[in-house]
Amino acid sequence: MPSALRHTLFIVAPLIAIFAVLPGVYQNHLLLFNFVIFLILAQGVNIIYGFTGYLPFGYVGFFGAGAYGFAILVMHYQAPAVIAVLVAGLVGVVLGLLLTPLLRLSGAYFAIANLAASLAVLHFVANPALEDITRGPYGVSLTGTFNPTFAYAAALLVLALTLSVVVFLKNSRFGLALQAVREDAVSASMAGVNVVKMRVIAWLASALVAGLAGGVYAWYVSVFYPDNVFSGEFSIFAIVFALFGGVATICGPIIGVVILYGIYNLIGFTTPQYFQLIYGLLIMGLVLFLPAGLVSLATRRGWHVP
Amino acid sequence: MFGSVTPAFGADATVTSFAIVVLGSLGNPLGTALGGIVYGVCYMLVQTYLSSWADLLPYVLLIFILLLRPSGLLGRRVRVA
Repeated sequence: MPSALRHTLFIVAPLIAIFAVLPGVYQNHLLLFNFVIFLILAQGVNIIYGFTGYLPFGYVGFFGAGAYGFAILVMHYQAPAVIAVLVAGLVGVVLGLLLTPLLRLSGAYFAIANLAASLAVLHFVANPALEDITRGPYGVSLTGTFNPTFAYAAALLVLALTLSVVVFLKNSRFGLALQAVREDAVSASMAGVNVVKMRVIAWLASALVAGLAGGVYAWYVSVFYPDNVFSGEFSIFAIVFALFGGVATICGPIIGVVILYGIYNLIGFTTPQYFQLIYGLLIMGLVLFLPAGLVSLATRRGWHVP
Repeated sequence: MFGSVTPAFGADATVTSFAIVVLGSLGNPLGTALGGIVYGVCYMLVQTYLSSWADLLPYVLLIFILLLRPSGLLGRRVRVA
């Protein structure tokens, strides 16, 4: 069996099936939805950070732009939600295209510039001068399209798309070339890899995923403010989850989201007063003792992790 | 806003001062002073003529300086590609 098929059958399909069944068993649908959103975002970070080495500290910029793309289309053009979600993905891609010059930077400089870019988009959207278009800082309310069931299904579709992108990257020459570029761009270009094109495609793919996630999120919550959808928490969580599991793998970010976001909610439910303290200590411990993620526990022993 | 203290107090100032340090050039005190002056003058100009866009300024300055001269205004020219 080719490994792409194996990954799809044994990782992607069970995950989607579990999340498709869970709403029938578990009552807290918002929590499940957030799990799906973070799975998408963590895999999006995986696409850009795991395969190209660019740390997108302002990843939430695409997410928020997607949410507002959805909102504007629904508010001003009364578009059906499905089309609005597609446009949200497009908005993410367009923002990604606008920010492609940032890929000239490397390392920390890229992370800083990306963070600045996401904050710039936030302040642009939240500007009271644009109240006619984005409702400025006063938030949007999209009660007309409110439909959590369909929004959840759409989120699962986006998750399936994201996972298939990662499976493709993991099993194709394209993904291999990207990882070569990550390790050493000069050697890769000497070996005939078109470095710029590769990076831009991975960048736009992760922007598309985040834009779609933003659109679905806007559909699900239907009332939100700029500070909600551009909250730095999304970038930080997505990056932490992806890193905790281990990037450049398919399972890594999934494990990261399930364990860390699970713990996050467990602490939130049981001992909310120690919540940030416990979580902060946990992340510090992980960074100190497992910098390459949970999957490194297996890879260190020579086991292959897809 | 005045007269209230919260744990998240000053997060905006952190981002702004970080933008100024990068604008001047990291590790160069003179650059930081210059960056501060550039930022302050630009901020006041934007606030006078386009007041609602003033919050956008530090981020836009940061992106532009990182794209045009990643080492900052007074930094030595190093290739960071």
